Amino acid sequence: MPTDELEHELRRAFASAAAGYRHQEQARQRLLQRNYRPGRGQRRLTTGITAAAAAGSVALGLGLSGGLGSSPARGTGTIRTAAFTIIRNANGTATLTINPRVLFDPSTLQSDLARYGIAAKVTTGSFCSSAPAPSGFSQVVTGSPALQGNSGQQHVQNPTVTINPATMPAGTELSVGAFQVSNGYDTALALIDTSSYTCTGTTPTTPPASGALLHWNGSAGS
Amino acid sequence: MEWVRNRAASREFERFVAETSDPLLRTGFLMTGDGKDAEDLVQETLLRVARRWSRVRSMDHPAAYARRILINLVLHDADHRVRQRTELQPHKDAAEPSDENAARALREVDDQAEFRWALASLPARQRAVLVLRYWSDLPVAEVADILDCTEGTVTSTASRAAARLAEILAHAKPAAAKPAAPHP
Repeated sequence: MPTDELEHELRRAFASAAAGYRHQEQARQRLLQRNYRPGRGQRRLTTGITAAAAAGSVALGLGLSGGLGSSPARGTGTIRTAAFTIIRNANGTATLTINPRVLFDPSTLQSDLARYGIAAKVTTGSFCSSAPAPSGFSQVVTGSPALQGNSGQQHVQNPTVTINPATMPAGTELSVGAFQVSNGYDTALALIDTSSYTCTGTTPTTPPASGALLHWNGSAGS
Repeated sequence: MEWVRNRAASREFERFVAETSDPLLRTGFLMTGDGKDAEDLVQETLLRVARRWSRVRSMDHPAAYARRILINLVLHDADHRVRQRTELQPHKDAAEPSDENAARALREVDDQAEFRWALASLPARQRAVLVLRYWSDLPVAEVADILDCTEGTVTSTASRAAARLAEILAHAKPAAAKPAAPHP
């Protein structure tokens, strides 16, 4: 078993290397195109597509059941992974703490937030927003240190964010988009209208409308 | 994926794609060292998921199932039945750096292309162990389940792979040597 120090360096190196993969939003859109031929011919998809189309019976059910994340050790009321911790509070809110030195797996965080009743769209390298942005962000998300009104950029180490799903307007989700930056990563937060939103791979430099931009300092404690 | 004929079902599947494609693409990128190859792998992965969706959707962790398919697609490309055994055996003659030196070598990496190049130099199963353990952050038991080996094998392979990775980083000169295609 590698030492803790070595495992820490491995996680850090992998997070940085994975963050080096760009254009995932464009890739995601391409993945939804039937005739997309992305590669160099080594792994052709034609056979699979043809077989599925010929069968004509790919029956997809409505709705997804179960979580989408991995299965880290979890205690009652707390989900703890190397990248983040979510604590369910007695009043129905959930407190999210991010480890800035381990880039989180967006699908894991998204599914774990969903377990606590928080509908979220979590991405890395992209951020989704609605125009106009739904109101009520400041009732849904509060921070420690406190966020600056309805929107504000915080430069703090290991901030915690408390989310109150009961105050989320119907038809909205919490958009959480993380971007690797030179000294950690920035995370943009905003409410989105689930029926109308767009995503961009551009790193935000200002807080989104009715949202917040948090800086998680990757050098914290090291 | 318009061949998914039911419109509502198609929207649901697209949502699944939207939710899972990012970590799958990054995993594929780390496993192959190439963005296009990663997209190839992920699309084939998603096709396989779609064809089995009636079963997959009832699983506790559909994304974990998709990740398993992706990893196995990479490993399938290797001559894995032979390589698996040799890669998972200790290289008795290899002088592995200590964990302390390995950590130092990793800490000194300031070029991500260099890291990816070194990672791509590892055999596929060693790469898979490192990616699953330290990128996907899976527990040893889950990695062992995906790779169909014992937990002890995962642990020892992780140690060996980390040491080899550090050795490559410490001694190789990627600027002089064009990044090679990774092991399939």
